Amino acid sequence: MQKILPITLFLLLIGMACSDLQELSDFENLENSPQLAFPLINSTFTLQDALENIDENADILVDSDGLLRFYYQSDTTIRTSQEVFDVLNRTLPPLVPVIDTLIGFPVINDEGIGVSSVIFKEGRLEYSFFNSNSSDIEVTVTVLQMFRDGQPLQQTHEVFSFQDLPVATFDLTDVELRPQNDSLFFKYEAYNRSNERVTVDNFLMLQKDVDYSYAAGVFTRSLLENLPDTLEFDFTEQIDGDLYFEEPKVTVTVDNSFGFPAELSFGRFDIITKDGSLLPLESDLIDNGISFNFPSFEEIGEVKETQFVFDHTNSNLPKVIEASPIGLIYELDATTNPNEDTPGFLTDESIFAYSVEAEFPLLGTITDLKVRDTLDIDINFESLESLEEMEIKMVTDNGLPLSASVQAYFMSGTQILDSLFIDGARDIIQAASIDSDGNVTKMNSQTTFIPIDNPRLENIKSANKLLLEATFNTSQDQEVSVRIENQQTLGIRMGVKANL
Amino acid sequence: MTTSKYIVLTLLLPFFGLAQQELSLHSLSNVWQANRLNPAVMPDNGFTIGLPSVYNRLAIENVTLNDLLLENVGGQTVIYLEQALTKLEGDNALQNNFSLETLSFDFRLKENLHLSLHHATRFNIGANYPKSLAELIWLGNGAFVGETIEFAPEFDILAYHEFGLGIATKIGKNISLGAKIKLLNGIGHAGTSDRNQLSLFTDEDIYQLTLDADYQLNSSAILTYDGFGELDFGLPSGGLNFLDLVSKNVGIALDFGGIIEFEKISFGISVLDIGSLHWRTKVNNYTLDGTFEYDGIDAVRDYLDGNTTFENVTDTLRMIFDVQETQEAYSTSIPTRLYANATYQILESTKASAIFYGGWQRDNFQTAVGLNLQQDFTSWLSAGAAYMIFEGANSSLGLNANAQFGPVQIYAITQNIGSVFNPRNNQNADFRVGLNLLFRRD
Repeated sequence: MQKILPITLFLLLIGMACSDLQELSDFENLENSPQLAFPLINSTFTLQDALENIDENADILVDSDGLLRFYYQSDTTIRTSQEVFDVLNRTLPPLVPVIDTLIGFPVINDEGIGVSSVIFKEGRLEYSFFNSNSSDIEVTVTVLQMFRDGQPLQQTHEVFSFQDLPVATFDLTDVELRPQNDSLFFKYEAYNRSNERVTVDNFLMLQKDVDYSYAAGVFTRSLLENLPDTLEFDFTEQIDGDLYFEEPKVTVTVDNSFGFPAELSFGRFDIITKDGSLLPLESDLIDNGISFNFPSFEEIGEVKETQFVFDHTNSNLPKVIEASPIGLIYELDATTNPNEDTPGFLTDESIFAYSVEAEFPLLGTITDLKVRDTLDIDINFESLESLEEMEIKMVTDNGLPLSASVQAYFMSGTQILDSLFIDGARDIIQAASIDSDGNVTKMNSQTTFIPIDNPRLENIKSANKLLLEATFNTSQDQEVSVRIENQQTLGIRMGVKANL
Repeated sequence: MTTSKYIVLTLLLPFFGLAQQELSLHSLSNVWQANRLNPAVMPDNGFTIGLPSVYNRLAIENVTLNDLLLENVGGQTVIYLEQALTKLEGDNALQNNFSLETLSFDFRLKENLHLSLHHATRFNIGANYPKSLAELIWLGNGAFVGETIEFAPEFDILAYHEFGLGIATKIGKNISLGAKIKLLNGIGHAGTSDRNQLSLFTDEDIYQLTLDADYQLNSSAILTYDGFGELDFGLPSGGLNFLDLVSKNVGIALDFGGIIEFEKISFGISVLDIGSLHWRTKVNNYTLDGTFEYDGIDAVRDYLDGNTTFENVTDTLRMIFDVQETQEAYSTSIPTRLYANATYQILESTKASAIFYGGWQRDNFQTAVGLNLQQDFTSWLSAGAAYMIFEGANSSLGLNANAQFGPVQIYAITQNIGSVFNPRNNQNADFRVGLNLLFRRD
């Protein structure tokens, strides 16, 4: 017995030690359900940030007092002086038969342009004649109303008897034409060796490659017609609801360097609405036409700008803008020298240009403005396999005078799997407080808890799209126009407590 | 495998160890392995072959295995920390030492002069973890919203081969001296440095996270970190490549011991494992230093710019929690141990001994004391009992036995018999078993 006991004990020790090891290696996975808390989203932004890409046609400008505004600008329509100079070409005779030693031609045309001065940019007068005399002659040719450096154009030639004068040229570059009594006179004086006055035959003069750098005179009334164009407002396409701008503005800007009076008339000036209706913009300015500025003879080369502003004081603009406009159709024509009695000028660089701008300052009200957007969700749910349930905590700090009610739908393709809020859209953003002038006086914060249990999580895991719907309203039940300014921010913070 | 499970398994795995706290082996002076605790111990035999012997000790502070495990409704044993959390204190230690001595030899060169050789593979794990770490893993940071929680664990995982060459001699009639030089070849290491601070604050607002860190890990062949949430933890197999013995991960350790014997009483003292290992292969040093804040992504900005947002969270976390990685060789000390014992021969076949242990675990000095009573029942069978008190753990009752059949000696020791019958309900468990061949006994 004395020996058996220690032996038994000995064997037992070895056996139990081995089983001890075996037991310790047999345990299975960790069974726990920790709760992880972590932040998800932390964003602060201004409405300017949000609106930057809402409309590719618009710029978001900030006034000196911080007020935001939508700003649209059309392309600039330009008419140049080339059209008028083309007419001038028809004023001067292309071919002049000089049948006498002094001959004159009218410098006016059927279109009524009577020039008092023309400066040639380039061109030439070519002429030739035949000496039918039996002796050699000396001929001086003068264009009496064309001047270079104050002197009439003049050239002298010697021609042998019974010979043609090889084609001679007057270079017209920088030459000024000053008609006399609307006429241009050509003169030649031919003398033989005996100093006797003679004549020549077949004297022809013609203009070639003539272009002008300046023209002055009395120009007849003419109409510069332009095609209709459209200034598009895309932001309204993406929204539904009532948007009221208290002080919208449309500005027509005319730049003019033609030196004679002109008037702008409105062939069309209509707002197109979302439902396709055309609402005419009404104003006395539209009814009566508008005269715009022009440079004087002392201001040759300068461009004069004229602006015509249509706003809530002189038009029905606020009313037509209320109807969800998607664009402004305009057709503007110019009538030059409407009274046909004012001398003027133009240069080869003269232009008549106009553009249209529309501005929508964010001063007004928003009522039930609905915005929808669909996002692609690309969450790797494999890594969230052990997620049992979670609670989202959303905190908003709002300095904008806008409240928002939001709902989100988790979708797979077009099928709705679940929604963020079970009981419908929820007010998650409280509008900032405002005073009677619409200025924000206090930011407001709101905290929302969104529980998502396991069955809902299973639905969400197969979602590949998120449909967001938000409805916005301005503060104080839209009774006061609010000011939306650049320094106003909206902070959205979101954290998650997730049970694994 | 999740990171949290890695952490828990590291704390539980029994095949790894720290500084060995053996308080019974000294009493078995006829067992050759007693030489491991005092190199002055010389066997009575002229030639001894130590066959494979295994030692393992697991010590867990404040909790038992039972507190960490649970049988679920499916009958599976699972790790379940809920009950353990109530028992944990601010700081809690865990260690495990495993040693496999493959082969050893002792030769009596001449009277009172012995030469010994041995090889052993050692796996040591030691960890010191705050209660808050276990709470964080088990409950998640969601349970600590609005609080700052310090959770940095300290740990050392050390695995190496040990090749020892020892000499023992007797000086005069009473004094024996011994020394051993050990060539160490590192298998793998992972451990924290003295930069050991991690705290996490979860804000009440939307649970913004702030991590304050001054934390450094060194690893050779065990741990790689490839970014946020991508931690790879692998223990090398421990295979030995003789070509790498002196070229990679090399170290030296020394043992010294002495015994003074009188007629009925003897005293022994030894200092073991004075040395270090230099780690050069597959080295990674990871440092997290600074204050890291994560307060969410600017998803609205991304939405306004037309980007999908949610898949960027992990990338953002990866950028924020920026762990610096280098590959600089480093050294680790081997946990040095000190033993002092006194043995009294009560009767010819009965002796009692008292032993003191002191060992360095990182910056802590741990102690234990034991009382042994050894009885030779026959010339071939001896058994003993011991009572031990380990710092930070309950006291325990140990048993040992060794028997010799011809040249074959077999022995088994446990320092906590309770762990043999009820391992789950004990804070420490250990055993040593082995075989020796004894020849040319005096």
